[in-house]
Order: sequence, then structure tokens, then C-alpha cells
Amino acid sequence: MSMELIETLELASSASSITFSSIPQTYTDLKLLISARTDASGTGAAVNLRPNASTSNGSFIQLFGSGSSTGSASGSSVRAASVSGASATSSTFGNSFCYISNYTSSSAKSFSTDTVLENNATEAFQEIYASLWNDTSAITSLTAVLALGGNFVSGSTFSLYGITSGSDGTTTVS
Amino acid sequence: MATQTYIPLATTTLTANTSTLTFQSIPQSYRDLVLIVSGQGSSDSSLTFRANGDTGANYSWMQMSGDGSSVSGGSRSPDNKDTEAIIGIIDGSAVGNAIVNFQDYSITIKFTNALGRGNDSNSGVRMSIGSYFNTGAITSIELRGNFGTGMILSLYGIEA
Repeated sequence: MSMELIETLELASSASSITFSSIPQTYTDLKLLISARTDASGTGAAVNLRPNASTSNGSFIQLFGSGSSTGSASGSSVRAASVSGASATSSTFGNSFCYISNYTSSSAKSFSTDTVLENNATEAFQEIYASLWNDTSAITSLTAVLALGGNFVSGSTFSLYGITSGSDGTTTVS
Repeated sequence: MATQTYIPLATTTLTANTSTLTFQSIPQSYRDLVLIVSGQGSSDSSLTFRANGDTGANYSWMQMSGDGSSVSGGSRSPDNKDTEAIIGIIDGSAVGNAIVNFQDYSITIKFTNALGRGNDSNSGVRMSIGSYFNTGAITSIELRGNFGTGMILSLYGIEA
């Protein structure tokens, strides 16, 4: 088995959150792709993930560049993306890739995020995040919300994939 | 029918701490390889690779990282080659992961680059590129670092 699409959610109208529920427990890892924009003010906004609806036990470290500067920051949530905001060039949507390792394990869950806030202007942010959900529960649902409020606009898409590890019978590891 | 991707090649869950692991007999039928490393190390270290058992000074690397408050970078230039290439980070006190893309690993007209992303929310986030200066197809990948019990390492083939 290779990578399989679990579900794509495409918003037909604005929504303050989206949720993937009843996530199958049969894969090794999960991959979440986001193309989204918010009606919140500013050129961009951060998106948090709530595993199993949890808002606790999260943390992240961020590295970002704006085209003219760099920086690093940290926080106490699971960060999945940053998306273009109401002030960004019309029709630009931020894009993100979030990889979730061993989501069914009984140890903490690690998240890797690469994201760009698209903006056809002189300033646009590229960011990478390391996030951790320090919880022993298997992840059965994922909810994405804007960290500072607002709505995802119509046309925003969220696709969740399952990835299964295994052996081809030829390659060895030791 | 759409082309499948992320074809599983090999995986292991460590039952003891170790400092080296090698994927061998890698098929030459894919375009790229993706390596996923997850879990907690036995202590802090970089994640590095060597190809085809080559221990010579045939590697370079460059990286940029953030620790939550500051940004730093480092490199080993092609003019001052290393004997291994950094492609990620292993943390000894927190669960993390690394995602590494080995691009065009079986193409014999170009050197191989490995794009790495290392993540743990304790010590930082890192992006890196490791280069192997040999045009030979990669048939084995040796990984080096302070791997801890319970860590999971998986290799996938990507078709194009």
C-alpha cells in the first residue's frame, strides 16, 4: 500500500473550522495539504490543529523568512499552516504541507509543517514549523482553526492522506 | 490509473540504541526516495547520511535552523568537503521527526542532493541540503546519529 487519499474538504462557504473525523487507524503516518485563505485582517494568519479536539499539550517552534528578514518563534499549540489574509492580494491562497508521524502511537506525536503565505506583492512569508502534541492518545480526528479567529473563505481546500510503511521484499535495513 | 507514490521499501523499529543504520539493495526503479525518521534519540545529534558505503570526503551540506528565538545557519562547502552530509536533527529529550527527499538517486549524470527537514519542538526546527559528489546510482544509504530505542525509520520510493 502506498499513499492514499482519505478525504478532501473544499469549502463552498466560509467556515471558522474544518474537521476530519473518524480517521482510520490503519496507516503509519498522515499527510495534510492545505490551500486556504481567511477573512481575518492582515496579510496572513496562523492555523492551529486540534488533535481529538484537544487544545492542550501542544507546542511549536517556527522559522520564517519574509523576503527581507528572518526570525524564529515558539508557542503552545500545534501549528499546521499559515494562510493568506484579507489584506493579501485577491485570489491568493496560502499553501501548506503538514506531515504527522505515527499518529496512532501511544507516545507524543510530531508534526512537520512547511508553508507559504502567497501574496502577489513585495512581502510574502515562508515558514517551517516543528510541532508536538505531547499526548498518548491515538489521533482519531483533526480540527483546523485560525489561531486568532476568523473564517476560512470559500474555495479553501484541506486534503488528508494516509501513508503506510512496509517492505518491498528487496530493500533491507539493519 | 494514477501513478502510485510513497511505495514502501523498508521500515524498522529500533529495539536498542544505535549509531548507524543502513538501507541496502535499494531498487533503481523509482525517481526519488523519501526517508521518514520519527521518535526520540538516545541523546542530541545531527542526522547524517553516507551513500554506497563511501566514507571519503565526498559530501557537503548546508542548513538553517531556528530555536524559537534566534536563527542560525551553517555549512560545509564543496571546497572543504565532509565525510558525511547533515540532513536532519535528532533530539534526545523529545519526540521529533525528519523528512528527507533524495532526488534523482538513480540517475547517473548528476550528483545526488538530499533535502531534509528536521523537527522537534524542544530544540528547534531545521532545513538542510546534503550533497553527495558522485554520479553513481545510490544503492545503499547509511544513516548516522544517536538513534534511540523505539525510533522508527521508513524508506519510500517515489515514482514520476
